[in-house]
Amino acid sequence: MPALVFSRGHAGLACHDGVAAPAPMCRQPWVRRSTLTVRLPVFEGPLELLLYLIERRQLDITAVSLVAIADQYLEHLAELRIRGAVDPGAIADFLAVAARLLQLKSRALLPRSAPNDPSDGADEPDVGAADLVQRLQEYRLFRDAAVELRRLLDADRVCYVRVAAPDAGIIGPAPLEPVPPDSLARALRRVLERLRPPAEELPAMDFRVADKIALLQAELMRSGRLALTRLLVQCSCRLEAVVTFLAVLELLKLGQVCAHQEGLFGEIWLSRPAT
Amino acid sequence: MAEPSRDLTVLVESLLFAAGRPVSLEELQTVLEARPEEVQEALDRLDAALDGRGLQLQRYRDAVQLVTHPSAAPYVRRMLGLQVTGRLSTAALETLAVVAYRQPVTRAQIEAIRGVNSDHALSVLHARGLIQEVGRLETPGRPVLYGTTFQFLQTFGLRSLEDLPRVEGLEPPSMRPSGCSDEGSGEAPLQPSPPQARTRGRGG
Repeated sequence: MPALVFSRGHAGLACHDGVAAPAPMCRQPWVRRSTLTVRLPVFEGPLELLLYLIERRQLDITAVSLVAIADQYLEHLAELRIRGAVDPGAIADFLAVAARLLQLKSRALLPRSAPNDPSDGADEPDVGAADLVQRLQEYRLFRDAAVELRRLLDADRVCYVRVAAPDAGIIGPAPLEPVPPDSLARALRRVLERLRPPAEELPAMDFRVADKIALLQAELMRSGRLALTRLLVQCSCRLEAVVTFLAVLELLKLGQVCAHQEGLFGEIWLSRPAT
Repeated sequence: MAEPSRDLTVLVESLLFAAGRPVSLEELQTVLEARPEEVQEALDRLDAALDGRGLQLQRYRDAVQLVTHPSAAPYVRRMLGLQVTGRLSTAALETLAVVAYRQPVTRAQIEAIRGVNSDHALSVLHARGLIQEVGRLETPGRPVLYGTTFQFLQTFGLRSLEDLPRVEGLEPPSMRPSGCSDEGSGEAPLQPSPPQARTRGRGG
């Protein structure tokens, strides 16, 4: 009988056994029992197990019923250990309650001393039992509430908020058109051609937007139109590219340049505005 | 400021529809340039007017949102191609029940009630958006206080915490700010009652 293992010594000792390495002499009867025992629902905590045992026997939650189910509780504890699926922390929760039950039971079995002798602490077990009974009663409330919540879930009463924000239709996704694979290949080739070995010398970091504007204006006067990518690729470093780009933006803002794109992802051409 | 012709009930409904998310009463007051009690009355009128319609109000703490009717759930999902959310374990539901009925509540208080470590259940509920941190208890260690979310109300088809299933011995928490019109600021008290009063010890 597994209960023997616990009642043989002190509950605290059994606790140490149970968490670390079960002594071989304890193991044998458990294994034998497990072949006989019907698989029970998995209990996550001691209160859940206690409540199950009490309700299975249709008892009210009282100190008396706790004593009545103490042995069964210990049997289930042995069952838990056999399965080995419970971590030590959880076992500790079970064992703490087991110790409480054993205490209650031993008090119930021992002959009572004189009821009006205040010195022997006869009230203590009742206080402990009352606490456990109260915790059980409270736990049962929430277990019942959980059942109600499950019922609501199963009734499929989900409320949805409106998922589309009003601005979604205005901004919308980018107008992507179908892109044939070989144009992707061409794009990659262009990128690779643009890659150049890093400059051996550090270029002088002296680029001004005003200079670039003047340069761009002169170029535009000469050739009529400029390809933006070409302008940027010609730059010796990132800083120059940034300055060039800022110059283009400035010219656009001033209305001294027009930008025109042939198609999606196509070349952007800069030209002088038609006057 | 308010022109006499405008109907706050209409405006509140429009705002809630356009927002598509929970809107705080304070936000409504600011946008509508209305007094707290006017907004509150408009919400109450809207709530009554929505009875029997396909939309309803959900209220939690000092915010409100417009949602579809619970009975439409499967059809809304079919229309939008939404998935049913996964099942919740008994442990998670039990933990959720404690949070829902006892909020704001700390992890230690939850574990004292359940008699078992609830870390995993709490993290599952948090990941599912069913619970949130709503503050901290002003005791040593300042433990996190948990409460439910709008997602919780949506998932269970509740209009407010007052709609929680009746369980004998359990009082659903009253989270609706009653002091809203008195204070004039629209700020709901974070905790309806001092949580210290609810702290219970674990041992005897």
